[in-house]
Amino acid sequence: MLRDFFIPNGFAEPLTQTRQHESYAQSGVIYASAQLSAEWLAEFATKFRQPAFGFREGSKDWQARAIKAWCQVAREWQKIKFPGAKTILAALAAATGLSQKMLKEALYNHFRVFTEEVLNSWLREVKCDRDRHAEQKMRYPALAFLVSAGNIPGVAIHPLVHLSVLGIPALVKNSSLEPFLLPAILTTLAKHDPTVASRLAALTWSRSNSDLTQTVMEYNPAVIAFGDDGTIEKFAQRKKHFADFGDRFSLTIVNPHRENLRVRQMAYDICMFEQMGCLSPQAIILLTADWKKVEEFCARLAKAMAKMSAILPIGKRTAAQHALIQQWRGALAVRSAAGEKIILLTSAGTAWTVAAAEHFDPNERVAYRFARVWPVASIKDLITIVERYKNKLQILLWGNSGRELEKFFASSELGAAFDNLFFNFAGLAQAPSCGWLDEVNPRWRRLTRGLRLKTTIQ
Amino acid sequence: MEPAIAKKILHFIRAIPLKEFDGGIFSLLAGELFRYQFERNTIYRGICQQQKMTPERIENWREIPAVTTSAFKEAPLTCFPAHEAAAVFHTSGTTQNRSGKHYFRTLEFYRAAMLRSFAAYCLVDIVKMRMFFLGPTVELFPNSSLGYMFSGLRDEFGDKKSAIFFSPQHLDAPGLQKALDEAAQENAPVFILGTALALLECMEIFLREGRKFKLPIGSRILDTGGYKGHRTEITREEFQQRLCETFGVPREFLLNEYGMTELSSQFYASSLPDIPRHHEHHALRALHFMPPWVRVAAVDPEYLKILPEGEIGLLRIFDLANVDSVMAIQTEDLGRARQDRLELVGRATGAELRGCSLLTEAIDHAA
Repeated sequence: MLRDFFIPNGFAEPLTQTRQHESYAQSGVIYASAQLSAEWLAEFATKFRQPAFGFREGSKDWQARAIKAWCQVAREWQKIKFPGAKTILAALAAATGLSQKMLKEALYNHFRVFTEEVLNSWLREVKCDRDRHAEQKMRYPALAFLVSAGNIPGVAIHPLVHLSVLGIPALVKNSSLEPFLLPAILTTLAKHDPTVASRLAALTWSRSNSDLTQTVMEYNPAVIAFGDDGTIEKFAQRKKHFADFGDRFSLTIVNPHRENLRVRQMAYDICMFEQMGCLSPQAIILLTADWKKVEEFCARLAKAMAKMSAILPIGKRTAAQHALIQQWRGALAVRSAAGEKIILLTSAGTAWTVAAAEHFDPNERVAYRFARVWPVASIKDLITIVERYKNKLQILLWGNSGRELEKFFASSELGAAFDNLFFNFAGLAQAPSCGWLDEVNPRWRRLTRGLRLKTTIQ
Repeated sequence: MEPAIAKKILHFIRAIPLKEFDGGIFSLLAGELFRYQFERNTIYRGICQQQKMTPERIENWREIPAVTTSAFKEAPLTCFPAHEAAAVFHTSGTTQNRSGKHYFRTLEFYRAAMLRSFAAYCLVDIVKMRMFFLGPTVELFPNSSLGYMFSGLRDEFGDKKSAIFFSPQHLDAPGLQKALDEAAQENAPVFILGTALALLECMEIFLREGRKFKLPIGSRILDTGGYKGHRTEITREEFQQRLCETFGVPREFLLNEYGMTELSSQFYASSLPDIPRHHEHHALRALHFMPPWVRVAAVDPEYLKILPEGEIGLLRIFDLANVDSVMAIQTEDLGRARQDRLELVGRATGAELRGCSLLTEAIDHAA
């Protein structure tokens, strides 16, 4: 039976209750739910918290063992071929509203990067950084508290694997919206290596259950929080060892005057996870002053969105989600009626939308396959946009070839505008590299290096 | 010069018996109003043309093209030059979303609609009451439609001891407590009107102080807006239970208003004695009375097609009192129309915080 918790061997299990998940699709997913109390959690945390391995003496054995175990897990989960795979996929689909095809694609993307070579290379880089800043070293935390989000299944997998390889005991608070995935992954890990799994746990409680959250906080954990502003704000008071992956978005940049546009890949980036994550592009910035080019690009993108929607079908959309799409479309319709240059191409229903306008505000978020095409006439205008949203930008995606990207970077107009911003190619937004979190979040980078917070790593 | 349709609608709002749901007159007025708005409101005409709809093609009020509530954020939707507006009401914006603006050439229609339905569904035969407000008023919130409404109700129906306990700075719970005690001593029934969030906040303060009231017979409470964003999750049932326990008011004297800045009319859920009960009343889903100058259709959320009566969908509201803007408004709320009632199934979850509740929340954060 599905469970909303994973407790390593040797710990007293909490009482459980069979529950029906209040899922999106009302498909009646039945699962065993841990009935958590503050007392039980305190007892668990007292025993669970222990010195991390990090890079101390004897850590190499742990690291090798953890990497091996995670690579075994990755092989099974990439292909979704293991006992109970069908059940977990169906439950995830019901809980998130995402289609099973998309969930398979997402799991493949999450796990494909975990090879021994890649993880060892990441570990070497971490060690190298840590040694370079020897004067700022501090002990790795004895407990990490990873607060996961419900909208992107598996969002906590990358940090969890990294914490595990460093031997940091990590307790995940699952989102009650999607409580099944991490317990199932950790169960697979325990099957391959119960010792590696003994430093990981996943429990589920709602954000309103502040007693349980407070109980964990009393053990002075390093906090890694995913989620909306409300979630992040709750933890932001912690000055020490806090890494947030909160409200961010991504943008795609493309020059339509060049060949080899990665249109299909741009559609893929937007369709994955129904455009709800921080890696989802909120707009495609088109480097052109020619509205004809904008029209051509939108037509191509619309075709690609239609095709991608057949490859990665939509799961279950709620009336609220349809309503939001209608409202976004309605706003554009009125802008058009008011005389603005607007292109609005849509599927028959709400499956996908391609809209172009001379201005968008990415802070006004869209989702559910709503592609906003934003033409800018010059590099100067692009720089203005990037600078305006720099503190909210997760990554920038490049919609042309690698050669074009080199040319772009060589442009003298750019100056320092793109310094410290993480670039990737369109199509890879939702399949990032193993170390992408280090690239986009300096606080997380410091945490994995075991360095004091004020350290700056170039 | 005031158009002929405006006079007809004002007369209709002021004179039609509230129980009279004459489809014929409504259809005539709606058709005429659509023609007026199509001619005078250039942006709206553009939207109609996008949908290839003209007054000549409309056979039924349900076919009149609607604008989404989001449209009010983008451009002034007016049948007159926007700078000539007598009032502009703003929707509550969030950090991520701009406010919408509803421009009024005159507030005559708004006021007429507001006074008639409030008197009928919230006061019944009472002329004046002692009214206490836990929500915006026009003096402090000049761009709030709820502020205009609360002030208008106070001026029209409030007695001399009516008072406001809400400001941009704080919620004056001690002031309200004193006023309630005084009313109890005088055995004067009171009418508390407020946003759900402000009422919750107030009840929490009273709870901490261990204060409960037994308000004089006939006292009533009206709440509006949701309580999404409140520190703790609460159901409507729990909210009403708390109101009854804190203020000592029977359940049938709890009223609810459903309205929005983009409309000029309000809907009231009311079970006051003398208000006709609906046989299909569902305990958890209040039915709101719809005034006869308003109609509601539910539309399919994905394709925006009008659904058969009784089916649940996104609410599309046709408000004749929206004379100088747009009559047909596509909301994000789910529900269905049942003759003269509206059943609200819920606000689309996941949608942004909106409505008057945010006003109180914003004050919380500022404090």
